[in-house]
This record gives sequence, structure tokens and C-alpha cells, in this order.
Amino acid sequence: MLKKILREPLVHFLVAGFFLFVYFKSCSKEYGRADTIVVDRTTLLEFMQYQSKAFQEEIFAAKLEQLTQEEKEQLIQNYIRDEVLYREAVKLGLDQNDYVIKRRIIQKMEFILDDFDPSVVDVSPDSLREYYRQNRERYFQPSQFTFTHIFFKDSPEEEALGRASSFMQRKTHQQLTAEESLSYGDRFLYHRNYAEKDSRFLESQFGQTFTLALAQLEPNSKQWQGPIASEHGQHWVMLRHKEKSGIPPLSTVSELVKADYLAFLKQQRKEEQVQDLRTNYQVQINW
Amino acid sequence: MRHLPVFVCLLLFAISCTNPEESKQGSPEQPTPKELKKEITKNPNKNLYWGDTHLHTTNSPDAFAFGARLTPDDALRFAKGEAIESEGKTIQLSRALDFLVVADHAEGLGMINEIMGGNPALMEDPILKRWSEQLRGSKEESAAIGRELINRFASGKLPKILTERKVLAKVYHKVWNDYLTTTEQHNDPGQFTALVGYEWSSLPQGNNLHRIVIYRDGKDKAIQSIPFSSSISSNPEDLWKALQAYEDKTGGKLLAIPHNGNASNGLMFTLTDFAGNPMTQDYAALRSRWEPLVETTQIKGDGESHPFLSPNDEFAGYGITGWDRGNLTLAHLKKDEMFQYEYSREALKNGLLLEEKLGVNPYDFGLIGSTDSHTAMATADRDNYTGKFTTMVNDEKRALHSEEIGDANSRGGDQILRYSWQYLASGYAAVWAESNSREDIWDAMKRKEVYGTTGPRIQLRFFGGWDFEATDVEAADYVSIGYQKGVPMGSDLLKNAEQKAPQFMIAASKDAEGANLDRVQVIKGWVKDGQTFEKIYNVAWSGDRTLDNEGKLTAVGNTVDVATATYTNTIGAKELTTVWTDPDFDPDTRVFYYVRVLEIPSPRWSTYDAARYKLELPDEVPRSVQERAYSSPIWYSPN
Repeated sequence: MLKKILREPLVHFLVAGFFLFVYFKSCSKEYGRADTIVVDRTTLLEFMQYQSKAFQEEIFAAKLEQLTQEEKEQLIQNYIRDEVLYREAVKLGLDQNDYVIKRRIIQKMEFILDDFDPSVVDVSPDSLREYYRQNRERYFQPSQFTFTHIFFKDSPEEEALGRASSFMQRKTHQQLTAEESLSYGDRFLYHRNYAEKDSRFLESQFGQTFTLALAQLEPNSKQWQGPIASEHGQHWVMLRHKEKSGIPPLSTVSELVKADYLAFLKQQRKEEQVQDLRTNYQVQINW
Repeated sequence: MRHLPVFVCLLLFAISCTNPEESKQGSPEQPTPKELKKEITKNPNKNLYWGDTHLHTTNSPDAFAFGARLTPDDALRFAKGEAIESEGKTIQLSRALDFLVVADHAEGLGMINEIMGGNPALMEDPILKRWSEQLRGSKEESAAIGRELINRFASGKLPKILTERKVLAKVYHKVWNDYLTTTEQHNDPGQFTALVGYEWSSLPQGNNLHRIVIYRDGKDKAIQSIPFSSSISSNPEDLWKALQAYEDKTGGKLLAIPHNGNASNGLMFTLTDFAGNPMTQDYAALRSRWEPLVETTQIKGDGESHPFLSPNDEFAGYGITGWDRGNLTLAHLKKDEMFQYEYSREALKNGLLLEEKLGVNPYDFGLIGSTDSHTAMATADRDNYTGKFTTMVNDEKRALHSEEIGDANSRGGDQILRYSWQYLASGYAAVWAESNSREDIWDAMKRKEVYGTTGPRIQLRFFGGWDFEATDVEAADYVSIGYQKGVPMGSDLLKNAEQKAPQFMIAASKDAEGANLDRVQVIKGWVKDGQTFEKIYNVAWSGDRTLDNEGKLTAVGNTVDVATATYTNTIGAKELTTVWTDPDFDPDTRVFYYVRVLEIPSPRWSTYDAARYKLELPDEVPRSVQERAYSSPIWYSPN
């Protein structure tokens, strides 16, 4: 049962919080006796809200008012019971060497160290360029394809390849625009038009064979190329645009680079602070 | 707001033990408006966009309390496909999303962070100002503040400013401004849409009446008023007034999406107004106007249907276990008579009933899914489940926890446990829009040309009309035919003089990276002589199964290997299509039709966890599930 309680996030929070509370109290003489449990309206409101994991003070305040004397008494008893168990647990040192509690407190500390304010940072074009230069590979973009296709379905009765080939032998079909082509061929499972989709996306809908073949084509918005085989059948493709894979210049990704740069500075500042704090400690490594 | 000072105490106290550097002041950077690099192509036949309309970040107090430190910026990056770190894990979506609404709770929005950062509005209070200065002083000085804080907190003598609405409004304004700046930076028309939104978290007596509010607008309009908080009013009618006030003031547009009727104890889809009076025509019209959609599936259970209401539907009650025991906080238990006012299908039926009485249907809503994840990560797939709260992200035993919820004594002594396995890896919102932009996605939501799934990206087209040919759905341009001869999901059927039966053209394709499809069903609801009815038609299915006399179909089978959490697509179909005519049509009754698509069984998220982390799951945890898609309905009305 104790184990189960200690796994609860709510308890972690209370434990972590209370650990700080108790720690503080131990160095504060004015505060009061360690064996006093103070129950007041505020405590009860907190207790209710954390119990229901809903934080709506006015509603809980109203709820608290509506409780019968008996219910209120029960709430107080529940709170006291938690406190007693909690404090006894702390006395027994159950909060020590508990990685979950430790982790939680570390998390809070990290949050406190997060005081980075982007408005006081000078993001000069030079520093941005330097950051981009050092992190270019982050901005790699895979190939992207924009195309329309006419689809011929494989079926047990008929090879799609024959139908596809004879379809494009007609001159009027060769001259179809992308828009006109939509009423030709068979219904396709997904889409007839694809705009700026990368090979990973296309592979999931057409399979690898088709996607590799597509990558070999040169864009031409006047010509139907193919037929290309896919998992589903045969496709005549009008490849209107192909964005080759590569790293775009800073000018086209500057917003993104700037956001990344600020995030980087924020992290850096935090690490500096951690390093500062570290100077308060002597570290012994025994192994 | 008094939960916040707890954090203030703890965190400031923790600060007092270190010697923090001077806290930074000043306003945040102004966003540089993004130039439109290219013309955005619009597709009149609509493209399919996937997204999450309901995601929490560190700005939500409950998310914060449970460890969330990821920001709206992180959430948007993650949705766009970037890898991010959480709890020591690197996490990335297998496929990016097309849009995202970061919808943090309006109540306490970002407040903790502001107090931490020394927001100038809070510094107006002499005590807080003194604290701020002393905290920058010596260790002894800052430690003294820690003591003072705790003493004041314990005796209820915290600076009043921390509870003053005027001051809070100022602080909220800054938080809201920061959030809007972030969404502007990420909004990239044509590529990715960052919609503005928040959650109005009304929870009277623990009964969930939450709504997600979504803006059609960007920062220029949204900045003109801060989100409406349920601490001002937990009455939805007051929310609608606030939405109207915003529109009047800014010329912008808003809509609201309720969720978790399953935790409302019969309050979400009532036949009355909030005060319990019979519903008026005005109320019905307002509800219909402001709330065009319902988030019907999400992490806290699925709300499409319940076996209690739909005993003849063998697929009713997906992921309801545990969530049908009581309200959100389990402060009050569920009674059978509450179910009819909680689940979407029943609400759609009751809407018809109310329409007969009032002339307006308050519940003519479309259906979507979304995550309600509190981790800043919009994960809805069964194999990428990261948990409701950040504490679960890197917890190998997250499928095995239980907690006692609510106050057993106030309920009459029943102890009720909520088990962590009962959370669902669900869902996403699918939107048929002309382009990927705020305006087009919002407009599609408003006209209900949207649907929901429990996570898989099942593609679904659904048209209703009077003159479809059976071969239309086989045509290469079946979509154009659908729009020419009929109306898409979310619409009303146009009038038909001949009084023949309506037809529906349906085309569903499997998630390209997911499980095959088992079947497509049309769910029909109608009202006759003051009573509501429903019927489920199997209209397309995989394999050579045949319908029995009652229209039922045998189960598709199950390829799930529980030990390894795998399945194979050796059963089921890649796509299922049909033109279906209602065989039981009565032109004199009000009726709606919506589509439910079922996948073949696949492992539940808890089964993946069990295989990965070698867990022994309790017997009652389902090992495999049939994930699904729900379309928005198409309505027919005789007059």
C-alpha cells in the first residue's frame, strides 16, 4: 500500500513540497512546533483541489461552504490522516533515496533556473549566421513532390499495365491538363493531387517502388510520365514540382533558425547557472 | 487561484536557498509578421488535414502540477514533426500533424510562470516588490522571504494582489500575448496551421462541462480580450455571451467544442437550460450556433455511445470502462438516467426531439476527436502513447497505477479506484478544407465537414444525395460527383420533391501506416411520435462475409499477438466503398445518418507497454481493440 501511495504523482508533489516545507521549518524557530498540524480554510481548499485535480478555487470554496458539519469534519480528518502519515514517513526518512521524489525536486529547480528573457538578447545577423553555419544539418529538408496522377487499378481479371499503356496512346489523353485528368482512370485509395509531400509520406501511400521511381523523374507540367507501378496498380504522373533534398539557405529558414538559436541560448544560460551552482560543491568520484 | 500561492511558496522558498541572479524584466519581443512567400492553392474538392484541437502545456496549472514544463512553442514544434525531449526521453511523431490548437485552461493560465518570472503587474504590490528586491539580496535575506511567505500562506495573509482580478487580468494579458506571439510564429499558411484557442473549464460539483474555444483569428484580434474563465461563470450561456462580446468587439469569429459529456453526470446534453428550466428556442439556437462540434473521443474515454443506451450495438462503448462510474472528480456517482444526456449519439437523437418541439435543433453537431493530453505532446496512436500527464511519459509502469478519486464518504462510503490503464490513446480531428489555413480549417469546423478518429488516420468521404448511381463511387472523380450530386458530412440533405429514399456515397481507406478495415456502418437515428430510435446498418465490409437476418455480420477475426504486441493485415480490406440507400426511409420523420468505420483488431496501448516493459496486466484490461472513425452526421428534415 505504501509503495502504491509513493507511486502517485499527487503524493510525489505533496511529498516534494512538504519536504521543502519541513526542511525550512527545521531552520526556523519562529514558525512553531514540528508536531503541530495546522488546519484552516486555505489548507482544506488546497486539499480538496489537489484531491480532485481540479483547480477552481471559487467552486471549491462554494463546495466547502455547502458541506455539512459532518462532511467537513470528515474532510479535516482525512487531511490530518494524510499529514500524520506524511510526516511520519518523512521522520522515517522514506523521502530519502527515493528517486521519484528526487527527480521531482530536480525538475522544480530546473524550472526556477529558467529565467531566460529573449527580449534582452541581441540576436545579431552575424550570431544568427554563425549558429546556422554550425547547425546546418538540422535544417535538412527531404525531397518534396507536387504532382497529379491518373490511376489504373490492378485486378485479378486484368493487368493494369495494359490498360494504362493503351490509355496514353490517345493523343487527347496525352494533352489532358492536371485538372481535366481527374475524371479519367480508376478511383484511387487516397488522393489524386499531392502538394509538397516528401518521400516518407508518399511511401506510406504508394509504396517504395513508386516513390523511388518518382524521384528519378524531372518535373514537367505539360507531360504525363510513366506508367509507374505502385502497390496498388499503375500511375501516369504529371510531376509539376520537385524540391530536391538539401539544406535551404539561411534566408528561407531564418525564422526557424532564430527560434532555435533563442532556445539554444536559453539552454546554455541554464547550464551556465548549473555550472555556477556546481562551484559550491566539491565532487569526489570514487570508482 | 489559491492553489498557485502553494507553488509560489515552494518555488520562491527553493530560490531562497540559492543565490539567484537578478530576475529579468521587460516585455517580450514583438513578433515579426511572417510574409506570405507563395500563393496558397485552394482545392474546391477539399484536402484532408489532421490535427489536435485540445492540447495542454505548462501553462495549464494541472499540467504544471504534474510535471509539464514543455511550452506552447514545444507543443507546436512537436506537432510539426520535430523531435523533443520530455522526462529524459526523445519523442517524435511518426507523421507530422497539419494543425494544432494549444488549448490551455483559461483558469490560472500561465500564472505560475509569471509569478516565477517577476511579472511587473505583480510587482505593484509593495510586499511583492520588497520580496523581489530581498530575493536579489543576500542568502539570509532571501531565506527570510521564504519564511515570511510560508507564514503568510499558512495564516492566509498572502498579498491580496495575488487574488485580485484586476491584477490577474494584467498578468493574464501578458501570458495571452506571449502565447499569441508563439502561435503567430508557428502559423505557416499552406504548410501548418497554429490555431488560437483555450479551454473554458467549467466543473460545477465535479460535473465536466468543459469547452474548447477556437478562434478563426490571429493575434491582432485575439489580443483584444483575454480568455473567458469559468471562475467568472460556470454557466455555458455566460460563455456564449462572452464569445458574442468578443465577436462584437473585434469582428472576429469563435466556436466552442464541448468534451467529456461522459463525465458530466447528465449535464452536457440536457433537455433543459443550465438552471434546469425547459429549453427555450433561444437557448437551442445559441447552443447550435456556438457549438457546432463535439469532441467525442479523447484520452478520458470515448463518448460516442454506451451499451446502456444502445444494447443492440455490439460495438457500442469503446473505451468507456471506468469513465462511466461517476463525474470527472468522482465526487458523485453515475445514475442510469444520466447516460442519455452524456453520449453523442443519444444527444443527436434528443436534438431531433427538441427540434420537433422548439423548431431548432440545439444538438445538430458534428463529431471530432482530440487528445486532451497534458504533456504538450499530441500523441494519439496506440504505439506512441505518452500518457495523460508528464509523470507518465517515462514511467514503465504507467499502465498499472490506480488512485482513489473523490471523497468516498461524501458518496456514501464507496471506494472507487480509477486505473491508469483506463486512459485511451485517442484521438485526432480530421478536417476536409480547401487549404491548410486558419480560415479554411475553422470554416470547415463551422460547417462540420470534419470527422474524428480514435487515433488512426483513416480517410473517410461521406456524401448524401438523391441521385447517385451505384457506379459513382468507382469513378476516378467520385469526389466531384459527390459535391455535384449531393452534400458532404455535416450538412442537411436538400429537399427532394419525389420523396424517394436518400442515398449515401461512402469511401473509407485504411490508415496508410495502420490496420486494415473491418467494416463501414451507417448509424441512423430518428424521432417518431415523440420517441427516439436508432438502427445500425452494416453497409460495406471486408472478405466474403454475408449479413444474417438481423443485418449482423460475423466478427472479422483477430490477428493480434499479445505477447509481442503485433498484428498482421492478413484480414480486413484496404478500402471499403459503397453507395447505400436507406431501405427504411420514411419521408415524414426527422432523421440523421452518420458513418462509423471499424479497423480490424490491433493491440491496445497497454498491450504495447506490457510487451515492451514486461508487465503483467490485470485480466480486465482489453488486450486488443478495434479503433474507429466517426463521421459528422447528415440530417434530413421533412419540412
